This record gives sequence, structure tokens and C-alpha cells, in this order.
Amino acid sequence: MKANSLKALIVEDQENFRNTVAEMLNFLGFETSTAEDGQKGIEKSNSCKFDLIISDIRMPNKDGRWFLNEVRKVNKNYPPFIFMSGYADFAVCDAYQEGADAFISKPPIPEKLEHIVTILCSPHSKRWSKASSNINQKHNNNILKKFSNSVDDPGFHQVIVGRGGIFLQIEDYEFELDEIVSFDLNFSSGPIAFLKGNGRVVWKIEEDYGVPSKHGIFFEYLEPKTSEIFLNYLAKKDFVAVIPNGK
Amino acid sequence: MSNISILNKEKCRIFLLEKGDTLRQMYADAFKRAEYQLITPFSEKEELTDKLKNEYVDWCVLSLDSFRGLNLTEILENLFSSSNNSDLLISFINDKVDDNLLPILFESGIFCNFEKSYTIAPFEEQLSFLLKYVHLYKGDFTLISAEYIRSSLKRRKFYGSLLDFEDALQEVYPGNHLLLIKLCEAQCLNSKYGAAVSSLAQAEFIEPKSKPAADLLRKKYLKLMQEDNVAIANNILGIKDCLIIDPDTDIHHNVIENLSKLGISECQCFENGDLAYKYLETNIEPKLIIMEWKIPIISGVALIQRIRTKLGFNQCMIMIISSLIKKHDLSLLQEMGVDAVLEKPFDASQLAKELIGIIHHSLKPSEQRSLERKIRLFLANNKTGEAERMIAEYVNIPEISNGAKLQIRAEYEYSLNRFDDALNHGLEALKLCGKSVILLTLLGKCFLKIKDFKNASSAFKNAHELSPYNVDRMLTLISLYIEDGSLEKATEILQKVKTVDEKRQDVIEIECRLAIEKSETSSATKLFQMLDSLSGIVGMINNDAVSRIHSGKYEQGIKLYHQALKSLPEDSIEYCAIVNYNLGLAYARYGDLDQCLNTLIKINPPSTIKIHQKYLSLQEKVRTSINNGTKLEFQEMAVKKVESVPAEDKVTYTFEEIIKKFGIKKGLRCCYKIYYRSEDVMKL
Repeated sequence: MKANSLKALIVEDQENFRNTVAEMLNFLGFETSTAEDGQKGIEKSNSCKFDLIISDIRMPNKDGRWFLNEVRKVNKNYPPFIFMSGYADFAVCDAYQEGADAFISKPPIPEKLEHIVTILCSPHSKRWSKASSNINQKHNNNILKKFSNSVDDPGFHQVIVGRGGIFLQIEDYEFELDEIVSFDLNFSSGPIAFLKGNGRVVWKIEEDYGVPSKHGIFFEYLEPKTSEIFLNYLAKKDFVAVIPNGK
Repeated sequence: MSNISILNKEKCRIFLLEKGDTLRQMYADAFKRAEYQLITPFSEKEELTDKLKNEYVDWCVLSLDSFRGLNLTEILENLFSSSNNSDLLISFINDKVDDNLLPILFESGIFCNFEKSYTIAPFEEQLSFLLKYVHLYKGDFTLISAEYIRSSLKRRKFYGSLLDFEDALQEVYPGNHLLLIKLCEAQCLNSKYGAAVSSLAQAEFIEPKSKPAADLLRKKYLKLMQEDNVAIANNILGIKDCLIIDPDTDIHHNVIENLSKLGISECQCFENGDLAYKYLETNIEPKLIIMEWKIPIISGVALIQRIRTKLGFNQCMIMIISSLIKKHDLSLLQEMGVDAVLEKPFDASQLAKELIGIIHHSLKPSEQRSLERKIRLFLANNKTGEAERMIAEYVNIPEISNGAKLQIRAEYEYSLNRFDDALNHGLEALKLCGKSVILLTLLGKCFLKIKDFKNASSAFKNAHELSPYNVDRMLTLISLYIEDGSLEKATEILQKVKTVDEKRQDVIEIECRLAIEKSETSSATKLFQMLDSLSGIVGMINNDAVSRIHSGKYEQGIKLYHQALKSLPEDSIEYCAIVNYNLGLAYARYGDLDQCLNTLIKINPPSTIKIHQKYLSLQEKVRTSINNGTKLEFQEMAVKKVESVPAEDKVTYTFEEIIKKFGIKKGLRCCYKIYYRSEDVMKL
């Protein structure tokens, strides 16, 4: 990708990783700035408009979670915020709930970083327009389901919509982490009549045997009509959670 | 692996095989009454197999009556490979539940077993029992078939096997709290109360909700173990020290925090492979090493190989934490001694589960792994007597498969230079166990020794595919490719070796050898200069040249000497003299005495170096021969005679056929991985 004129902020206390990620982003065409901890990170992000933030979690002074929350107090959905850590100091599902747009390992794998940055830095209208090629054709990776609810029903917990994906906990549907899932979900009423597309399982919480697992599915592709409906929905909603954690 | 496609009754396609019309109709009705809509009944297995090739099928339900007298392993493999559904499920309908046959069927990859019934109700009951478990275990068919095996073992009171089984399940589901409770029960039934207390403590650590189930077992079996309960709860892994190697210091802090909760209090942390290796060189073997795969200075692969081979640390457990290595790569990494893989980013619970799994895996009561490591260590150090004693112990353990025993026997025979016997045992082991990296490498070495380069190369290639990071094997493969003239392939593998450990002397040697072969003189010269000693590479060149000359490739052998002479640095007078002498000797052996003399005259080694005297002596002999017009006589080197088996017992080396036929790892499906008890080819 070419990200000319886009600015990225990297917040990381370890110099070697800070430099590595900066180099990767420079290679992708970003102009980069760096900060050593959450406190300095928020000072920088408040003084300059960034198009992307990548942050470590465990840092001296103020940590990554504090930093994310401060960033989202200013703007609930911009810029895209990526956590980078080898260890999940706090649950990945909570990171997405609190407004992180992605969670990647440290050190990042360049191809994966490029993939996620390309999605996150695309304009909303184009972000979900490219269909994934490697969709699993197994029956149970294709969810076809009609719900007699609206996505907005407070008591409805099987599907909860976020601004970049969905929380999913449906009987007899089990997916593995990192799997691509194709979905065709219909709702009887409410602002979203249907959701059709595919996404990647970015987190999974195993429940006791017999109870369906909870999944966080990050949208990778939305069929054009769904995309239109979903963008309208987002424009009215203005919420923080990229994928709700279902709690 | 999980598959819940059979719960999707509208879409699930079922093939049903039963010869008897009435029974076939009855089974089909049972499925229909359970709301399945896509059932195709068959009376002949050939018809089913043909259809399977062209249609997408989720589930085959087969009456065993149709397969009497046939080899079931082959039939199942055939069905699995014919289907275009990689997740095909196969169930059998059995005359009656045969407790001996059941595990073997599960080993071969069946999903569930139905007992034959002549009325619909019992069959429907079994179907609903199965569907309940598919739902309960969310389609995880290892756990589903484990239910069948567990109840069969308990019914027969085979508690020893039950314990092995539960233990092996921990390898597949490390730290699973429910399975830890089941393991605890099996340990109690085998009077292993200390281990049982640990398992309960581990289950409760992972999932505090396990307490009621744990308390029930404590009440039933462990009343007298209360003191141990407290002590073990403070150190549930039973180990105290650990080495952490990761350039990310956040990982150091996080891992230390978590390890301390598990009772591991002594942690040494390093940011690169070099510092860690230096520490290990001067300290005793730690119990556990947790390391990133991508570490600076010495790569992860190189460090592990050095730990296991150079330092001989074979007891410590090694866990890789990395975003580059995936959990499913573990089977490939086990050869080099990796015990567990945890993908980054990981959390506290995943780390604890893997550590509990690794502990059960390494301290398994069957001692198979630890015995194998010890035997291999003795063999590597030429302590064949000790190895033999340990092998006697090993072969007497009934739980260890015949395939594994044959493999160890093959390794032992190889160490005694009995290569034909080693091949015999090794090929038999290959038939029984399928491909494994250690076995293929051993076979490759045997084929090399009997100069069957084609099969050697094939064996090493197969091993290389399974485990692409073994430096020693890659070096052997490069040598074989050079021998074969496949220089592009040799170069390709060399590039891979260099990414693993480019500083190793033998890696530089082989790179130098390849540069000479490719007539890249200046590169070869530079590489010569990087070597601490030239004796290894000069020996390698001489061996290769002699072997070529002996096998009728005289020109190639002579060319190799010339290339080496061009490439050797000018200041390495002694080695130039050696190669030049060998070149002269080669000419002389093949009767070209004038060329020999010219060659020897070209270099006049100083009297201070050893070869000086040999030069004088050979020159003298050649001159005398030329003057007298006589043939030069050579004293042939004594070749060590290798003991071999009598001719009539020799194997026909059908390595390629075996690889093709038995290469598929049965363990990719169902319970085979965890219940590898019997390797006999099944016949009803």
C-alpha cells in the first residue's frame, strides 16, 4: 500500500521495537512520530492529528490501556488504534470493546501489519469492499440465520454489532481463532435488516462444554447493500466498541 | 479438530451402507426421524466408494458386515482420500461392541461406533447419545471418540491403559481442567496418589469452578493426602527454575509474574541467544526454558540445537513463544527438542495451560520419551553397552508401540555399523508408524552407508519436508545434491541453512565446497579465509574427488582438485601442498606418471611441514617407474569390513513404495494421536 501523507504515532518504551515498527510503517509510506510511554503519547496525539496509532500495552508512567481510553475520550472512532504486544496484559476482547481496532503480536509480522493497516486506513466507504479469497467452504463456517429480534434489542445477546465487527455466540456454531467466517444474518426489525459478508475471528472465549463459545469477528468484507446500511447505522450511532465483548 | 456439520440436519449429507434391505431401511428411517434430510443408502461398498469420489459427503455410516476379511486401515485411508471433504466423518455399525476392536477402529480414524440393533429404538437412542456429545463437546471429535474409549477401558478395568490414555489427552488438550479431573481419577485407580493431588491442584488453578468435582475425588481417594494438598498447591508444576529468552523485556516481566503464581521462583532472563548460551555453558541444566523463536545474535533454531546437542541438555523442557511459529508446527519441532509452542500474543491462562501440559508430557509415567532420549545420548557417545541395557528395559514396556521399539533397535544397529539390519528394522518401523523425521533421517544415513544415494536422497528430502530446520540434515542433503550435480537445489538449501546458523563452521565449509563446485573461485577463497581450520574442508574435497574417481568420473575428480587449488588462499601452504599431493597421487593411480611428476614439481613444500617427506617419496617412486618403464604399485588402504546379515535375509529396499503406501499419518484424524496403542494392520 502507499500511505503518502498519512501520519502514524508509535508509542513503545523499548527503543528497538519502536524503531522496527517505525521502519515498517515508513516502508508503507507513513510519516512516523514516536513516544516512549502513554503520557507522552497522549501529549503528542493531542498536539497533532494522526491517522494511525500503534501502541504497546505495558509501559512506564501511563500504560497502553490508559492511553487508548484517553484517545477515545477525544474521538470515539478516530484514528485507528492498534495494540502491539507479545502478551495480552488485558483481555483481547476488552481491547476491542474499549476502542482498539486491532491487536497484533510484538514484534509484528510485516505482512500482517500491512494487511491490517490497509484495512484500517482505507476510507469507510471502501474498507469492506474487497472480498476475501480464502473463505472456508465448510457448512459450519457459513452462518445462515434468521433472528426474530432487532440488533438493538437489549435482551438480544447472540449477535451484538460494533463499529468494525460483531460479537457472536450462537448455538452449534464454533469457529477457530483466525478463521474466516462467512455470515448471512437476518433480523426481523430494527436499523439493520441484514448483515452479509465475511470476517476474521480475532478473539474467542471458550465457555463450559455445551455452552457455545463467544467469538469476536472483525469485518473484512461486507456485501454492498450491507455496507450501505451499516455505514448509515454507524453515522447515527457514534460508539467506541469496535467489537463488543458481550459482557 | 472439530466438526459440527452433522448437527446441521438440513445440509448434512449422509451415505449409509448396509447389505440387508430391512436393516438399511430401518437405519435410514432412524436418521429421517432425527430430521436428517439428505440420506443416500447403499447396499454395495464399491457403489458407495465410486459416488464418494464425485459428491460432497459429510458423514459415512458403514455396517462392518460389508468389510469382513478386509484390511480396514486401507479401506479407511481409501475412503478418506477418495472424498473431496477433508473433514469427512466415518462411523461404523458393529455387530456387538467388541472391546478389543474398538480402540483399533478409533485409531484408524472413525468418529463413532454404533452397536448393531434389529429394532429402531436402540439405534435411535445411540444416535441421540452421539448427537448430545457432538453438541456438548462442540463437535470436537477427539473428545467425542474419547468418551467411547474411556468407557470401554473402564468397563474392562484396564486402568493402566486408561491412565496412559488420559495422560496422552493432556498432550492434545494441555491444561484442560475437565480432562485433568478425569486424569486424576485414572491416577487414583492406579494408586498414583501424589500425581493425582497435583492434577487436582492444576485443574483448580486453571478453573476454580472445578473445586466441587475435585473435592469429590479427594473425599473418595485422597483423604490421607491433606498435607500434600497444601504443599502441591503452592508449586503446582513441581519445578523451581526457568530461563526466559526474549528480546521483549515486557515478556520477561509478564512471564515472571505468571510463573511465580505457579511456584517457579528462580528466573533468569536474557534478551538474546548469545547471552543465554554463554550462561548455559557455565551453569547446570535448567528445568524449563521459555524462549522466543526470533532472537538476536544466535537464532532460536540454532540455540535449541546447541542446547540439545552441544551442551547435551536433554532433560530440560523448551517452550517456544512466538508469533512466527504456530501451534500446529509443534510436531515438526519436536525432533529438535521443542516441547511446546505458544503463539503470541498469549495470556496468563494460555501460558499456565501449556505449562501444565508440558509437565504431563515430559513426566509421563511410561517414561518412553525420557528413555528414548537417554538411549540416544548413549548411542551418540558410543556407550553401546549402556544403550543395550536401556533398550532391554525399553522393549519390555508393553505400552510402547512395536514401531517405536523397531526404530530404537534400528538406531542401535546403525551405531554398531550393522547397516543392513538397521535398514530392515527401520523400514519395518516405517510401515508401522508412518513418516517421522528421526526415522527418515536414520534411513537416509543407512542408505548412504550402503551407497544407495537415490534412496538416501529421497529419505533426507522427506525428512527435510517434515522438519525444514535441521542444520545437520540440510548439510547432508547439500552434499548429496553436489554429488548428484544438482547445484541449484544445493544452493537453494544452502540459503535456508544460512538463515538458521550461518556462522557454524560446517555451514561455511559446505558453502565453500559448493562455491568450488560452481567454479566461483573468489567466493571460495573468501570462505576458506573464514574457517578456523581447513582440515575439514580439505578432507571433504579429497573424499569427494576420490569417490568420483573410483566411480569412473575421473575427469570430474581431477577438476575438483584443480578448482580447490585455485581457490585455496595463497598463504595456506600446507593445505595447498596436501591437495596438490592428492592430485598427483590421483594421476599416478591412473597411470599418468608424467602429469603426476609435473604436478608434484609445481609445489615444493618446505621441510617443516609433514607432507614434505611424502612428496619426496612419491616423486622418487614415479621417477623410478618412468625410468624403468614399470607400473607404479600402490598399497591399497584396508577397508573396514562391515558385518552384514546373510544374503538370504537381506531386505529388498522398497523405500519409495513404503513411503507412498504408509506415508500418510493416520494421526491426522480422530483419536489415533492419543491412543496409539496398537499398530497391527487390522483384519476382521
